[in-house]
Amino acid sequence: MSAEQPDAAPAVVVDDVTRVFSKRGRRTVAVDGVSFIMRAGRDLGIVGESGSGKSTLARIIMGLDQPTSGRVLVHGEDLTSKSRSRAERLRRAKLVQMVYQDPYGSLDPRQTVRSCLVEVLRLHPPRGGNVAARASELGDLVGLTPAQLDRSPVGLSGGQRQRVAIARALAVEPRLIILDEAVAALDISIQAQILNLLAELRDELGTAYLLISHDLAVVRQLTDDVVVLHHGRLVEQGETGAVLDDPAEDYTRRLRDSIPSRHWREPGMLEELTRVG
Amino acid sequence: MTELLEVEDLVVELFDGAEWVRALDGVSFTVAPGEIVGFIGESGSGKSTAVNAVARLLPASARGSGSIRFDGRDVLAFRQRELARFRSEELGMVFQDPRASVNPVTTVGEYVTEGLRKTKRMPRAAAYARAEQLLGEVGIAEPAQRLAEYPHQLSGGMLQRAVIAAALSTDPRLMLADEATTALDVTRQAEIAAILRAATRERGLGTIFITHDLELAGALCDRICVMYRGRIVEQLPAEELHGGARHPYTLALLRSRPSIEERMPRLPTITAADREAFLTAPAVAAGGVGGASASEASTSEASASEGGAR
Repeated sequence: MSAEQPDAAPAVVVDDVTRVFSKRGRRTVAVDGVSFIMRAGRDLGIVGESGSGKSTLARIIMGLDQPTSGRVLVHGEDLTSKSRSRAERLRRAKLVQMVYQDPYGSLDPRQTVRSCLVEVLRLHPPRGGNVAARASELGDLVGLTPAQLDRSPVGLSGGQRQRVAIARALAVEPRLIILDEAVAALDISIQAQILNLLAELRDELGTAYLLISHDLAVVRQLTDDVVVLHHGRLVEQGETGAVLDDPAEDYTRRLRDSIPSRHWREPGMLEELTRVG
Repeated sequence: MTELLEVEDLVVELFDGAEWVRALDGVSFTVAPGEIVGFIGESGSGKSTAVNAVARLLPASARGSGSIRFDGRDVLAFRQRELARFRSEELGMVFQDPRASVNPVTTVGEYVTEGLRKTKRMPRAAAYARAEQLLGEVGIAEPAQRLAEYPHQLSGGMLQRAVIAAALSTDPRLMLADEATTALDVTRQAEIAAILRAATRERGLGTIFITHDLELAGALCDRICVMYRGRIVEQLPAEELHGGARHPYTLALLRSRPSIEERMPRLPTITAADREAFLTAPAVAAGGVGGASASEASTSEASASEGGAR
């Protein structure tokens, strides 16, 4: 897709990151020495099943969690040090924002969509300083009508709420948006609309996406490169198309072949597939 | 083929607090022993309502018409005791979230043996021995040890297997699986699919498999009913889903899903005008094969004349 830019500084550098959780004397290694680079101008998918460490890694890149060892650079800034000052936190917010799977849980039901956007814009004033105008503009950008902006998120459908979550992330004008299973809970027809919207916004605004997903078809549709995690370790990385068409690692192949397909109808195929591991 | 379940012209209206909403609008389908019938559709299409109607799990205020026959018997005419027997002995049910089905403070063994002890009146030791066999049947290793454990000690995939084992314990004849693999990882999903298929074939169960995932329904089921706004808009053999589907809604759903094989410049989306057209397009039934009812077969003929509104 986009041309390689070897001289451009990488958007994200994950350098030998390990995260160990200790609970009642039991150590769990959630992320185990993971290193990769997200190149500037290319969207990256992080793929894995439950327990792969993908969500822990997302939280670390977002600066919500600290690695036990290793470091993360987002556009050259080390986010793995604790941020103390308010100014520092606001500046970091401009680097990376996150959109979660559940649009129901991540929006305050007591305020309208517009006031939710205005709140973010007060913290991160837009160029020109017109907060109200920018709120309307953001609504327009993600395909929400003025009437929908004046409703509580409770009165909106799942797809509309996810548009609100995207608008709120965009309000900060971040360089990177982490999409954590952001289209996983949506109906097929709504999912298609949101995937198209994300692609349009990328082309229009130049925002880069780091997509955390278990859904390989969604990863193929939205990303240029992919990293595959399994039990906290990186098992494979490369261009999304190349990795999915011809996985180098058994685990990636198994992940791909577990996706329902007509092969399941061949005698013994499903049984063969599920006997592994 | 003798049908196990015959649902004919089922209409269900539910009261949403303000008005009556037609959740099912003339739904007809059949399920034969040993067959998996998939119900696909988006939120609010009525797929869960259809299945809940079969188990008579709709709210008491629900009203409607039509018939549901199980093994020739009129399910809608069942009195309390008959209904309780129907649910506990002839139906097995598996839902999306296994943790919502099991009691977290009792052991897996208590849960899996409950039907055997209460419905089959089996002594405790015999029930536990049978439960061990059942866990083995659904591919759980070291079943005796698992029975002694609590639900939180099992992974989601393992717990869903235990739920299936419990559902199979009373030797039901009809299995209702509502988004039974949705919350699971893809590799776990394939395993649960394999277990459900094996149980359906080996026990001669009739299985209704509800999912929002077209590919999954196409891969696992024998026949598929596509639901849209309370109606079955298309019934077809699952292997014909790709290439053989004809209803505009089915086609639109198939097109809107991203593909693992290629990146599309833009995914085709469904417009408001499309949605109107889905409602007026005639329902499509498999051409005389696969147990479509007579009334649907006739609408299928009508669909040959393009754009004929009902």
